[in-house]
Amino acid sequence: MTIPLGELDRATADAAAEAARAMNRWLLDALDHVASVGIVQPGHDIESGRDDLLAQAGAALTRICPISGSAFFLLDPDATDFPLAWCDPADRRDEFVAEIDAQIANGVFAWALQTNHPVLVPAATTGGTSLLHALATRNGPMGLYLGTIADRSPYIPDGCQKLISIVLTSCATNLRSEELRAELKRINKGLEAAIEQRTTELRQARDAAFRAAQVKSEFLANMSHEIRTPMNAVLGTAAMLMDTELAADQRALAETIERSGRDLLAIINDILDFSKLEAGKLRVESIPFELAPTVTAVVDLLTAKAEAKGIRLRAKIADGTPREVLGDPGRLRQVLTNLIDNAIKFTHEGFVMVHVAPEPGPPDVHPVTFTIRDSGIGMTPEQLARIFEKFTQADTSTTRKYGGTGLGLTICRQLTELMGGAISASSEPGNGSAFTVLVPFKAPAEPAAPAEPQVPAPTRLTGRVLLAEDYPANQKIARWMLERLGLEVVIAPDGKEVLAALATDARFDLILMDCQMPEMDGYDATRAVRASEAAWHQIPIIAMTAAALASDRDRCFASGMNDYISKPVQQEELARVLARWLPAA
Amino acid sequence: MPRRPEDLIRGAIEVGTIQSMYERLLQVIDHPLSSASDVGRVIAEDPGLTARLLRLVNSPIYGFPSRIDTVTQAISIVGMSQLRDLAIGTSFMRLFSNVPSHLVDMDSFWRHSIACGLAARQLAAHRREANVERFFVAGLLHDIGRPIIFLKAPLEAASALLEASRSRQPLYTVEQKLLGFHHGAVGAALLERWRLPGMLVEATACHHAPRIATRFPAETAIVHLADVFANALALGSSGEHLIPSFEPTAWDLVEFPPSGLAGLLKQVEVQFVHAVNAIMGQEH
Ligand SMILES: Nc1ncnc2c1ncn2[C@@H]1O[C@H](COP(=O)(O)OP(=O)(O)O)[C@@H](O)[C@H]1O
Ligand SMILES: [Mg+2]
Repeated sequence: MTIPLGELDRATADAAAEAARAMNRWLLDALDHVASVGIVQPGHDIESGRDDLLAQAGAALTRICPISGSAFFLLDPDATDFPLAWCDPADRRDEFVAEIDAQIANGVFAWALQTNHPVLVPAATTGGTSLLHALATRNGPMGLYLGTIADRSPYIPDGCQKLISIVLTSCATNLRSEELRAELKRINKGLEAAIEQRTTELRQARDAAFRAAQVKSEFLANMSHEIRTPMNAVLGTAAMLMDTELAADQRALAETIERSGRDLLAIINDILDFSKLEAGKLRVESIPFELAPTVTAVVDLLTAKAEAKGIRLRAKIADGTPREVLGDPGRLRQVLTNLIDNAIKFTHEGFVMVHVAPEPGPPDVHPVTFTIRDSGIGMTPEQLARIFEKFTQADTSTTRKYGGTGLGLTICRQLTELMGGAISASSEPGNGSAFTVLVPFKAPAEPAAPAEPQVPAPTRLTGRVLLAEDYPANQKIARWMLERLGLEVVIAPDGKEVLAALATDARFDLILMDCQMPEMDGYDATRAVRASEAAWHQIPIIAMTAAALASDRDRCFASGMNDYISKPVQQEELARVLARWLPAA
Repeated sequence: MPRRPEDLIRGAIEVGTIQSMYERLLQVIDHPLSSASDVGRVIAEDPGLTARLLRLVNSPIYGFPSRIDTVTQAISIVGMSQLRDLAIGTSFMRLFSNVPSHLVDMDSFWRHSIACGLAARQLAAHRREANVERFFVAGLLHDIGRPIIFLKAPLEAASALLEASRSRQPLYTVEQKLLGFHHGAVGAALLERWRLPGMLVEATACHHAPRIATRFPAETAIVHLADVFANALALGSSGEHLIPSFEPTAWDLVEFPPSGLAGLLKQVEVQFVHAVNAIMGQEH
């Protein structure tokens, strides 16, 4: 029988078509397995992520070629060994390790590591075949795959070998990106630690700078005190001098000493305030007080100065301005004094106007604006922009022409802000300036104590005064002032001497106590007096101190003192305070 | 005078026994389910080729730890595509035994080609290319157009050689002037007709101007650099008396660290001896 040629052709064609279909199926199937490799659960840790990747690659390889077991050997971090990282089946672990040891010994392992395709060699420990494939990226080898095949000469077609390479190359790439991811995490952690450390350092530096600033402020405050004490003597001596018979030119000289002394004192007070503000030590009070008399008192005090320059100084309090408010009258006075003083200083003709007006605010807040307008030299916008900075004057020639420290407005601004308010200025060169201070006073709960009536200072008192004062010049001045009032004076140079004097001579009517003294200071001395059993432990004690804060006053009262007078001591004020405790002559 | 590269490759190249071996190799190549033994069987039919391949894979270039005795074994170790490429590449060497020897020393020609192949293989290995042997073959065949010119247009070839040495210009520039194309285009036309992988065709066509390669720019850049290295090492010659000009962009594309250059050249020199012995041993 002969088969017709056409049929033979058809049979061959059918077989070829069937083979092509089979190949197609195989390829699609294999590609499916390959495509599933390398999907890692997000958020896993590095270990389990790695095992996932290896397990996926192992499973894919088993499906695309006749592999009966898979093992991955990964280079350890110090690159000295290739321990087994994952294998399947797990119970053939020892077998895989033995096989790889044999392949290491015969050099195939090293060879396969440098190669980028499957290396098929007779298994060293069984009768089958070992498939070795490097796990490598362009950065170098990371490990080796071992597949065991039962057949000694297995059928692994070319396409299949290529797929094996694809699976293992993508596995290596994924492992590498996992490593990089872990490294990134670690670097991030390191970065956080570095930032933490840097922050600590910065914090320490900031604290150190802050401490240094505090030390500086304390130093300034102390220095101011040290300067004030001799200033007290200068002013007092000038006053003593002017109380004597003097020729007209001599009197003029004495007046110059007095005026310059007061200017110097004002500067020192500015510096003192400023350093306290810088050190954050300045607190504002909140006490009920009357607005109009406070403003008027400041204006009255500066009227003489304005008139001396031929300038009109007027104050106008608008209708509706609250009569009394809750706030810090002392600080308000200081701000207004500064601004009015500036206005007078920088005006050569014309006027200085102080305008007080209420502003709308919430029910229990009384915002008030104080506007100080002058017809003086004014400022350019550039100058205006800088005047609230510390130590800054409109231009460098100002100091030469007008004196000053450039601290006044800085203090004004900080005090205003401490009071919860704001300060602003507008000006034009040659057209005068206007400074506006807005203070949100609180409404007082109870009516204010009526502003203390300024009783005229008495001229003569009677009594024996124990004067505690260490500084000889001030001893002299105080003695001179007290004796002018008709008082008898005994001097004790420190706290211990005060107690000694009281012990030997009980007939004192009052102690005038300097707070800062060597050996035993005024506070300790007062406590000792009050703690005594003697009849004199109730004696009135009046503090004399250069410190001018409410907190200093509190400290005086807390130690047992009865009243308070600030240095430099002035005749009139001394008389007024003493009059509360001693009978008039 | 030939007008197009194709005019030169038409018909007249003596292919003989390699033709049928080659046809059957292509058959197994085209079939993804072919295996090591299929390829091995085809190669084993050509004892000369078999010996050559076994000498090659047993040489220190491969450094496989134990002896490889059969082609099938060689395939499972060197890789199937790899060995197939080697088989085809080295088969070409027998094609041009009748090239006029006063024009070109074919021995020297193949030495240059082997040096270029080894350099290309090293560069590829550094990039961890999957089939470094294909780069070896690319180097081996990059100048294959030149013996064809010598064979098919000996007059033009002779005047080109004279003109190049007189005017101190590279031979390929003179070829271009004289023929309107140079040996790269001729070689590419041949490889194309033999249905060799596109990478080999493009690398051959563009090895003097890798920037114009479109499908395999990195591969072409590797062959370009390898050619420069081989000429610089003066291991054999393809008739070129000047070191071909070098394109800096190729360097960037290949991403080979300049610090590794001295080591690479040293390695090429060492491997060169082994490769020449393995590939050309029988003929000498
Ligand atoms: N009313 C004003 N008119 C013009 N310039 C002023 C006025 N008030 C302040 N300035 C400018 O602002 C500067 C800073 O003022 P201030 O801080 O009080 O420092 P000081 O008065 O010690 O110079 C002054 O030196 C002056 O140049
Ligand atoms: Mg001022």
